[in-house]
Amino acid sequence: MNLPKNKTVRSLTSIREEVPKKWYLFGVCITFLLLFLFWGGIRFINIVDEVFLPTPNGVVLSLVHSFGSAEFWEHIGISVYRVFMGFLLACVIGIPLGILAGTFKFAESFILPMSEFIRYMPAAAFIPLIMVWAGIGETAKILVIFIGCFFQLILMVADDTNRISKDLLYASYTLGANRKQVIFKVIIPALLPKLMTTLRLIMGWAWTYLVVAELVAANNGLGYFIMKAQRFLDTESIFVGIIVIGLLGLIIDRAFAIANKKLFPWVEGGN
Amino acid sequence: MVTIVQPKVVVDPVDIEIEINGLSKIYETKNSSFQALEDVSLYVKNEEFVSILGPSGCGKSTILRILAGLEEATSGSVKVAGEEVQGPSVKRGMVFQSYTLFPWLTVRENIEFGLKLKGVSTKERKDISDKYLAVVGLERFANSYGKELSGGMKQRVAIARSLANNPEVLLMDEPFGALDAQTKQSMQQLLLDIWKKEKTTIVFITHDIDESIFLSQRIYVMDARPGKIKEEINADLQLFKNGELVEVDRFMKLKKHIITLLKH
Repeated sequence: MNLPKNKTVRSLTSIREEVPKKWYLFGVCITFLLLFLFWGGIRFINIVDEVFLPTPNGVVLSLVHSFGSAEFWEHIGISVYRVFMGFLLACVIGIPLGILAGTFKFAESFILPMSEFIRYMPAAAFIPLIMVWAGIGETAKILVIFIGCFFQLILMVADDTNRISKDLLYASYTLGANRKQVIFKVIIPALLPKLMTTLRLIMGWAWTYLVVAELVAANNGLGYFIMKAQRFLDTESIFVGIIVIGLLGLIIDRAFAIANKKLFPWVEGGN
Repeated sequence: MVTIVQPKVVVDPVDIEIEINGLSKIYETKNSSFQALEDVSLYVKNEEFVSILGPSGCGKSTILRILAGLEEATSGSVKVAGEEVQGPSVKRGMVFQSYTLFPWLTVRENIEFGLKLKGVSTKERKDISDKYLAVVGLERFANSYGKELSGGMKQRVAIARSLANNPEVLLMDEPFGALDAQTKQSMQQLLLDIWKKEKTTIVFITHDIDESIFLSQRIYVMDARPGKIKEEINADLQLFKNGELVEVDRFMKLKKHIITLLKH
């Protein structure tokens, strides 16, 4: 192995080793800064028309302006509501089915092949069908998000459940647990931290399906806000909409990460 | 060759805790079948420490799992305390090679797991877990989670957790197989101390010749493919007396004998 002589260079270029926190932070800041510089640079030399690419400061101003309007908060509110309803509905039905499929082989035969089949069907393709079945109200939008999350969720929960060490189950049998106790006192507690990680991923997908859902006859929500801005060639607002969705996703993701750490301090190797 | 194998002692049937007769296990796959165990017969007396020693793949763990009721025999009879084994039971505690602590429970809660299932009162549970925390020397770690413990400590919790259920038999499947040499030694000594104090019947699976001689009163040496008992050996050494190493010659003789046995 020929390692670089300089200690800092060595630590920054070693494979899969930790780097000092300040250097990590440096990397994070510099990419964001570069993105803004690049964006500003393009605007500055003016090779792209402002209709296609607004200025960074224009977008920031528009963002601040939007946060000042009650109407914009209504868009955010309704979008958050749709995402959470679709997500929760998928969880309430999907988690028990996933655990069932991961616990009993016979149950798996009913649940998994069907989910595998349906999950490859694009959720967006269900929209016409959903409109026929559920109209164009809130239910339709929640259903799009539900379909996008539900089948993936079942598969992932089943897999999480299946990964619990069999010796752990055997040990509980020899300690006197019956099947019901093995499920509720061993399988489910063992599953919880993995389940949280899975839910975190699924939540990310729920947000991507939100925009798809709000393509359908919506007159509010962040997806609608973006679509409306496109109609008026208001690229600044398109940027604002996208950034806000990104921020909301980030906040929720961090909340999941913190909850995971607080709720499951016993997890080996941290979360 | 020196005769080490002693003439068979006649065992009083009242003393017999475990009795396996003509046990066979065949695994059926789609196009073939694999005989893991062939006509295995053995017994373990009450309060006895017996090892089953053999190379990997000889089916020694299969015997233990069948004894625990985690697997079914293809033929033959397996009796513990005069009753045919039918599924797992609290009467037969088991310690595995892999760490099987419940990671979401503290050491104390792990030890109390079986008692809680039985509906033992909180106070009584605490008394029992206090006792076994002391037995395995983990009083200071009562409120720790598994991730804070070393491998040896995890196995100590596993032993305490089994003993807390007051089993008739303790089944141990290479419990020290994953530990480093030094930890392994201290665990062996600890196990012997516990066994002498608690007077539990122990069936111990291992592929480590030294370990089997050091720990057990009797050793069943196994042969692989198909797994069967090759020889029954009376060990019962008192390796240490007043801290002094004694009976080293007999230890070496036994070891040599077993090595020759395992060679072919």
